Amino acid sequence: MTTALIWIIIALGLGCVVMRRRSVVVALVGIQALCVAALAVALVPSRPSEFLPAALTLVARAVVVAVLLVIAIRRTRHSLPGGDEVVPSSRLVIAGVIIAALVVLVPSFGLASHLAEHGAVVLVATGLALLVTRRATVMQVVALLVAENGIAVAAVSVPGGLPVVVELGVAFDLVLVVTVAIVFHDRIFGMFGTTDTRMLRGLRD
Amino acid sequence: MTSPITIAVLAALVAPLIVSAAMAAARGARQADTINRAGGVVCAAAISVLAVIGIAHARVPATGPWYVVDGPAGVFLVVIAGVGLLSALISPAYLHDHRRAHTGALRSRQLYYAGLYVFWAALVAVPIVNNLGVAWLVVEATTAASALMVAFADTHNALEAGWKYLVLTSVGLTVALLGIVMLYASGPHGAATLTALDWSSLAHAAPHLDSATTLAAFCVIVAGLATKIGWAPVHNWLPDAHSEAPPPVSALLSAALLPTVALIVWRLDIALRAALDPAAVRAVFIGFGLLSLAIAVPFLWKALAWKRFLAYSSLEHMGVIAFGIGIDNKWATAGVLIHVVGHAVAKALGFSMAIPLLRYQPGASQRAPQGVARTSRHLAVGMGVSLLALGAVPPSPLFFSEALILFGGFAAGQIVVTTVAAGLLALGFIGIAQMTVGALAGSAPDRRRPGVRTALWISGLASACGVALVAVAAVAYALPYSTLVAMISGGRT
Repeated sequence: MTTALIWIIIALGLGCVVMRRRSVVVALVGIQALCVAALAVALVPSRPSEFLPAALTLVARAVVVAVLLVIAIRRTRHSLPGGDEVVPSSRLVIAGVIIAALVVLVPSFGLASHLAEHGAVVLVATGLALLVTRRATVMQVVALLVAENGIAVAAVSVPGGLPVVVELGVAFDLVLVVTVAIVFHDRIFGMFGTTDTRMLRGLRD
Repeated sequence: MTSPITIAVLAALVAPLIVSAAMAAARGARQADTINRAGGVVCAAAISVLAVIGIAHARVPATGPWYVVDGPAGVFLVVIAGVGLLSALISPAYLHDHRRAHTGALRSRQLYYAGLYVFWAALVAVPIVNNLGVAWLVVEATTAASALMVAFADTHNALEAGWKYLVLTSVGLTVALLGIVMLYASGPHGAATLTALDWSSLAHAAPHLDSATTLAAFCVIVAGLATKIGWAPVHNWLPDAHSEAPPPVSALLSAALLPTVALIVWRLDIALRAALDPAAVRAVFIGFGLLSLAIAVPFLWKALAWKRFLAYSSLEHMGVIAFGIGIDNKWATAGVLIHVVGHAVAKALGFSMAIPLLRYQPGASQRAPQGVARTSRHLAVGMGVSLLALGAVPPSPLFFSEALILFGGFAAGQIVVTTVAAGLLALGFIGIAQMTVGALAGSAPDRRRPGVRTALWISGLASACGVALVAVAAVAYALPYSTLVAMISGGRT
């Protein structure tokens, strides 16, 4: 079951690269976060009791972040980046190159599952690819979330899991950062009438 | 029973949060300014007490369940206390000059001060946390706390700078978190305990860790945190954020935040020494150092707006700190500590001077300042002290720190890279000298002169910083032989 979940999580990450509409991408990353939480919950019976709060934290994180993103896109409905955004096939190629480079560069780091190790690295690389190829502010937040979901895959796959304090703290910090990003998203939309980050290129030397 | 040191730690952390919350009770703009001034003094006093405890415990660190108050923490807390107090005290002058369009004077101040003090509290936590995982959490918290402060001016440029800062540093910290998970996963597995990531636990486990995996994890963590420290080539947010943030926030970012995050990397290096190839670690730090210097220097030669110039100077000085950490002997270690404090004083003064400068030469927000000596001799003295100190002109402590780091480099046999660093520092000095002459001499575009009160606070601040700089320089003679340096460099000569 865990193997299937990790493959689904990776596929959802790549879906975020390909899909154009913000609502679809937000739905995909929300489902991805829930799958990561499901992965953690599936591991609870084989783990010490301290792992349960960490798994529940991931569930809560997935729900809160998804709600925040839905609120953000509902408040800026008509703001889509222009047509000269990188086309899906090119985005996929760029993601493929970054993924291949990171998978080669990052050595095995001791997880029992090689799929979890590679999956984590693939998702961090997918996040980086999303960051450089997508221009809407919400998409850049999604990029961060995809990378964080990758790290969560690695974290829950460590025998025993990460310390619950770190899991709680990471989830809290992520919600905080996403909240601040959505404040920026609103202010950028209010000032520029769009959430296209190409408008944010005024500062040069 | 709670120990006195735990009480001091809690006081230093909670005091800024209390002031932040107290802002909600302010009934008017002047009352908010008064709460800020009084609160700033109280917070600085609480943090200074902790700093003194840290320096007094240089030989045997005071540790608690989640904190470590040691020599390095003491040095960085001195910086955080001093720069934080200065930022608090100069903030009313900034807020007086910059009213936000959509919020009244009181609301504007409440938002600003609440953000400033939360940022200050998060900064205090960074040097004293005793755990890599928790250190990551508080560094991430500084991003959330400070990003909105960077965009406080609510202009196009401020929003752009704030967004870049938020996204780029968050991505960097995500990469660093991957490295932390890698490091944790490569260690001995058992029940998930937070103590496994304590600095002392990492040092204890280091001899048993796989060196290749540990080095990879270390590199990923350093590369991620480098975005927050502002080391090239992942420094892109730095010039924008420093130039667009309110000057008191720029001072905290540049003088306190960047070096304090570098302390986390330094602590990690010290903890994992037994597992890491020293040559590889040295190459990582020296690489970041030289690249930061090389990228900063051409911008120091350009006629940039004042705060943007100071931002590139920060890039240069973070490069010096990386280079010194990479050299890793008693000379370089002493140099890094002096550099952190000297840079903080000089840079905080420089950003403070931006407030009167932009009041009397509004165009200096977009172009290089000119003829400041004709506008105000007091302001010219303040800017001059900052520039000469940053340019490492004796008796600036940065002269001694850079000399110590370069001497350490030659003593470590790193002849080529040290010569390159010396050359880049010389080129940087020429750029700063050009800025000094161009900004202070010549004719002024405006002839608005500061009032007596403004002239007084500029003179007072410049004098205090000048005295502080000379005092820091005086410490340079004894520091390489101190217990503090011996503890950090582990007996390396």
